[in-house]
Amino acid sequence: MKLRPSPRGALPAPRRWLRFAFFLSLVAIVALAFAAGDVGMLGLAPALLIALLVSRRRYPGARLLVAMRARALQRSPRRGLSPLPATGRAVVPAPRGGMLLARSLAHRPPPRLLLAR
Amino acid sequence: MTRRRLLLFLVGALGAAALAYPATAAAHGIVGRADLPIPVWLFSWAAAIVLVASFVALSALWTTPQLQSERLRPLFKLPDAVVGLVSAFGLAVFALVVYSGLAGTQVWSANFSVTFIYVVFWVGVPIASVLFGNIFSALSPWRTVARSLRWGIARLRGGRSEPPARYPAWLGQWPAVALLIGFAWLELVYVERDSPSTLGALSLAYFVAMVAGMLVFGVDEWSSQADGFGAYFGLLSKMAPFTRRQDGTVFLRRPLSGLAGMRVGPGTTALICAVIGTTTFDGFSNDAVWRELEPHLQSVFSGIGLHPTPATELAYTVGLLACVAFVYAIYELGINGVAHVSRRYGNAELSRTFVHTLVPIGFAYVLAHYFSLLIWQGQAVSYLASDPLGNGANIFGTSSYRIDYTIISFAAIWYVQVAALVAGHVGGLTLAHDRALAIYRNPTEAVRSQYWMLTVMVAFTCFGLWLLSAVGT
Repeated sequence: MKLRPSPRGALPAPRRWLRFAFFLSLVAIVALAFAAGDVGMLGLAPALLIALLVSRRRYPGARLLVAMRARALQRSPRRGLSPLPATGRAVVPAPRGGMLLARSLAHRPPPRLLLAR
Repeated sequence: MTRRRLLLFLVGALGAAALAYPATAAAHGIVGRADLPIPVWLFSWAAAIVLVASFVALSALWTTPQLQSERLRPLFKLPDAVVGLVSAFGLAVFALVVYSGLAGTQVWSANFSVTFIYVVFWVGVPIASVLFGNIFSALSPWRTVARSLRWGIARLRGGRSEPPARYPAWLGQWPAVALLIGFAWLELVYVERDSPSTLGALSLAYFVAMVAGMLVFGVDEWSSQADGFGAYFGLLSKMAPFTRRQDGTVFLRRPLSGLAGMRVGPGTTALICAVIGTTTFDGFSNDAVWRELEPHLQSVFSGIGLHPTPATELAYTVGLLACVAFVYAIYELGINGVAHVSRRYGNAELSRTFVHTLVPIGFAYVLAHYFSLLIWQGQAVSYLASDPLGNGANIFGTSSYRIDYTIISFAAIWYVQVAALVAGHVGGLTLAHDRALAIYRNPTEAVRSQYWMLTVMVAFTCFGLWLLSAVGT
């Protein structure tokens, strides 16, 4: 997926009146629930609560999530599936001489572990 | 008025209307929700918590993009004969729909065409498309006829089969949007919507228009861009774990991964918003809020000299279009927020980049809203197929069957609806997260951008559940 970076850069932070609209809607829903006993609209409150939070450019837990992602990347299970031992010393040498000829003539290249020996 | 203010106005207007008229909430398809163990609004909170938990899990554990390519695994080759049989079946059923509509009884509940179009075609085909892939490309009667005609024309021309005109790129999927909204208008607004002869005549007109378009602009191009149903079902089929290539080979792929390579052109966002918005209006038009609002709107149109029927239709048309605009506004507000996170991309690029995340939501809305219709009214096909004209025939010996309303409880329907909505939105969140990982190099930006998509998903979930719970029949 290739995207063109925006030539204009980012827009300014969400406007104050947008936050105010979210806040007002939230207050109205809660007021309806407590004053008029109409709790049905309370179902919309989670969306407004999160919208209010992010429109204030608050991202609670974002740093923690990034750190958790970095840790998860470090212990990615894919590394364990590598055909080479995980010592870091096994280096696959570039084929040379007869090995190079044999490899280019072969229908299927030799296993990487064989080359590493 | 700037675009942003217009968006806020739309959101605010509908929100204010909703707040001004508290829902008294009888129920649509969930009449027995009084039996539920907890209040309905708590389901919204629970669904929001599930989405937040999914967001945390995705941010922390889904570290690399997984759904940006399909990773196809060939399964088997579907013989051309099977595809031909399916196409012939689609054509035969279409002929039956038109014939029963025009020549059968005009009592909608006794005529095959009405139930087939509104239940099997409008609800069943989308579900089958999500499960099995783009089956409509084989079933479509106009596609079958157009392909046959093109094949015949090519033989006459000595093998040349290029269409005479090129489909205009600027038009994109806008014709499909107009046709899809037109169908929703027919179903939800038009007073003659249950008339079998009207449906039969309109089906025939649609068929002729589609065949003509395919002959002029090419079958595949027209059916993916301008055919309302072809574009809609094709979009949903990208969620499926199966796909079929031109040579007939059927491949297995990761569910939802087909959406990553979706062609996004002019009108694509509007098409998806139209799917969600029209379904929203289907629920909203049965709701107490709308019942309070609609007479005022109708009186405005009556005041300018319209008769009651066109005034009502116009009021409903305004409601339908407002719901589509409302859905678009929610999405664009979310995208506006994503654009604030980084200086890297503008609104237009981000809107196109994340629009595929709305497809599972569209399907979730359709499934949740029409599930009870499919389960109950879908059974009517068993006896209507035996007596399609409603004249007392008993072709398959099933004309004495009746709908069994005890096949599923009201509470079970509600749980299926909630599960469909939550699963659809978790799917949308997953797609958005995967796309964010692919386009943002900075992990902080990727995570922060998804707070906005989480807001969009929670908003659609809560709104969907509120509609389902507050709708009255």
